Amino acid sequence: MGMVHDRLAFDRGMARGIAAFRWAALLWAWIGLILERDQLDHRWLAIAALSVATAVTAAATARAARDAASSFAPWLVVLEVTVGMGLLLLDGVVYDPARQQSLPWAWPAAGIITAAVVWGTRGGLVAAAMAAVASFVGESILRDAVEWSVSAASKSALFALAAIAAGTVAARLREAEGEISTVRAREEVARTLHDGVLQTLAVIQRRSDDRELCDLARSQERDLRTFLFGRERAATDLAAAVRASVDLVARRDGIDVQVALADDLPQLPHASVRALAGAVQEAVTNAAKHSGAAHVVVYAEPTSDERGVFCSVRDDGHGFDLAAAGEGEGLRGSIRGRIADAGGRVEIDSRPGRGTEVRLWIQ
Amino acid sequence: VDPVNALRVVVADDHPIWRSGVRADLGDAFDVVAEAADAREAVAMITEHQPDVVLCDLHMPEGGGIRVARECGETTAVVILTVSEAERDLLDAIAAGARGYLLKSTGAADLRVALAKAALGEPVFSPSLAALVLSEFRRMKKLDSPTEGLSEREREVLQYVARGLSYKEIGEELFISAKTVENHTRNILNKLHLSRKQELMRYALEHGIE
Repeated sequence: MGMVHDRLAFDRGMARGIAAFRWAALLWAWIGLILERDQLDHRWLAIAALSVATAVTAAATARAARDAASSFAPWLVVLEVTVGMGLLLLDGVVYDPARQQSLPWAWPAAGIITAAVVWGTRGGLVAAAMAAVASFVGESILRDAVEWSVSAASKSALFALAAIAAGTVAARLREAEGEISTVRAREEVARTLHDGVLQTLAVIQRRSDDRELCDLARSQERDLRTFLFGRERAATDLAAAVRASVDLVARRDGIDVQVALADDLPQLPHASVRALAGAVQEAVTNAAKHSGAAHVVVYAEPTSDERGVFCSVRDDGHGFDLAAAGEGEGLRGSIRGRIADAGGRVEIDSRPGRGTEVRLWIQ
Repeated sequence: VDPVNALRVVVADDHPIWRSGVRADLGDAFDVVAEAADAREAVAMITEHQPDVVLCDLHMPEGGGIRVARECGETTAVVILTVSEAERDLLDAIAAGARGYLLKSTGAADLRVALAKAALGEPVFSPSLAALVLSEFRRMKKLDSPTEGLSEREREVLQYVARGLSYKEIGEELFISAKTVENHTRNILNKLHLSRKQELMRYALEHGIE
């Protein structure tokens, strides 16, 4: 559904733009014809030629108004390019050779643009080449060699430019349109899974006494949620890095970790982000392995000057006496080392029976 | 169900399996007086039955938990159920007047405890919600919002919640009672609610909406 809708919106926009261009070019040609009517060698032939162009313009516009995609029908594009070539050929026949300005050079460009939209830049360039041949032949009929080749060459260059510009713009728009529909499809998937699968996984966790089944449901829920909301969560790379570190440990060691992050964390230098994510991973690992904790909470907020981050990793485990037991290798090396290298500060607070909190400040 | 002492609950969720599951989990201490499948029905049921507490899905047809919180939050304890904590909608529901939220994966025992507390007026906070609320107040302060910000003590309490401490533990850290900590959290939610209301009113005035 989404794809069809987008495709139509794209076609409609393109068809409308080209139709406006066609009418403007046609108006220009008619005004030229009327102003210079006295210099025309074959006035009725010129009027007939422009009338055919007018009919094609009207037909294309009517089709575009009814159904945008049908104005890009191949036969119509071929017809438009052919009529454009006819105008360029006749240009040499109907005009007085002394006159410099040729009348219908803008209108054939519409056909070239349409060809580029329908068949890409290459298709547009083929149409431009055909129009170029027509203008060289048309100009050569009555003018001097040097004069006609300069005039036809400049027109040909314009046609080629129109083909390249239109082909590139159309390709870019199609690309953007493709991306939009991908995002929409993803949102649609997210909504469906959110309402169905995530709910079901939550039901299983709530209503099953089977420990293994609950663990499976929990890890599936986590994977699915990371997939669905991963992009929004990675609002700042710091948040993404911390969540990734925590997920790794939670999965590996099977511990319940709540990650509570402010949604206005500042951007930190890459080295600080790495140091903080590494220190958090180490602190959570310590809690999972040594503290006997059931829950760990990781919290981060901007410092009051908003240039740095305060982060806390707190468990509800048995805690330890820092004075008696020392910090242990994990805390001393991996956490203090990393944070100190990045110019940050570490505080470790633990009391027997009261859990452990690792507090980190970094800029 | 003990009809005299049981807490009266309205359960609102568009998935029937959820409503029946919650009903089973609530057990004898709760009396599910009505169920609703969308926000409009929930508001009607709450108005009709005047329950002690409402358990209500964040995403439902007809306006979801936000609408229920906005229309009933001032008179009834509304607790939002959600599958994901990382949603802006959640903060909006709390600001609209909900008393707190629970994850759908919360176990039956925790669900009963939280609902009983909410029915007694205690905010149901979690570290994630505290982090979101702290961010929201920082945002309002930056925007020079005329509404009242957090006091230093309230900010402190909220930060402790975000770091995972229970009200009792926070009380011990700050040498105050758990009851006082709870009062602070209630005031914080009220401030959030009031500021959101003032924001909406100011927006309405500035844009000429009556």
